Amino acid sequence: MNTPLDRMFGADPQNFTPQEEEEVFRELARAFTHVERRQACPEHRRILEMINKKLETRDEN
Amino acid sequence: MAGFPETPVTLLKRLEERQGGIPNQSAWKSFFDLYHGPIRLAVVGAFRRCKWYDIPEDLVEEAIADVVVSFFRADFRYDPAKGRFRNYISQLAGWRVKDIIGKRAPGMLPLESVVEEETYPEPNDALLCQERQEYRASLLATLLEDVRARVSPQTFLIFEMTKIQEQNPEEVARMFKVTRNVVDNAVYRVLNKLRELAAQPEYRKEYFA
Repeated sequence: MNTPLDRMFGADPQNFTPQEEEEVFRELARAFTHVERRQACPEHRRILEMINKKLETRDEN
Repeated sequence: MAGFPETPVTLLKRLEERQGGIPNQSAWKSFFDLYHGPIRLAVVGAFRRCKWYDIPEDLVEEAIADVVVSFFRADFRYDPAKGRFRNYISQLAGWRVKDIIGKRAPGMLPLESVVEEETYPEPNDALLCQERQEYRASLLATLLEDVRARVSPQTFLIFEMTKIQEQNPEEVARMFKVTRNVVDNAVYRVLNKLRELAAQPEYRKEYFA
């Protein structure tokens, strides 16, 4: 276990230093922004519509 | 991002719920909001393994939609005993891509049959590193949504504004008409909850995938 995130998921009970805390928050912020950006792209909306149609068709069958 | 109080495994259980015979729409939308990136890479990887490199975007999108719809099929339920969720996504993507190629160009389909394996296969192509990063982003976003559902809306919002959007904590305190101490406590509570949830076996298994 090297990074603070590794330690967090590894259930390491030791407290983080303030710098380690900030590193965890930075990683979370990066992930959150990445996923949100994906949701905002036109492809995301198109696929959501496609899934909706496919599920409706399945339910009719 | 829609609130989604689940870990990857319980998230899938919500996908199985039906409301008046119809799949739970908020569940699959939230699931797709979080896992679009990993599913896309798994689909592209599956096409490449079938020697399809220049794939039209509409086919990629169709395969992604088919993978999400597959989560509703009882015979494709995720079984944690068979492996990691990330590898399960890859397996579903492989099946759906083969379905699509089989319909469009049956002669180009690899001869191996589409049967359920004893365990989900570990991806091993060049996309592996990218897939891993994309999956980790989805996992961290899932963890955040999980925490969001377990603390008060104000606590999470204060955390989100100060640590995700990186706004000045003093300004956030003024905005909420609270002391700086309340802001610091909110961040502390969220961090503790993040650590508590991340340490759960199902998160740990997926993170160290």
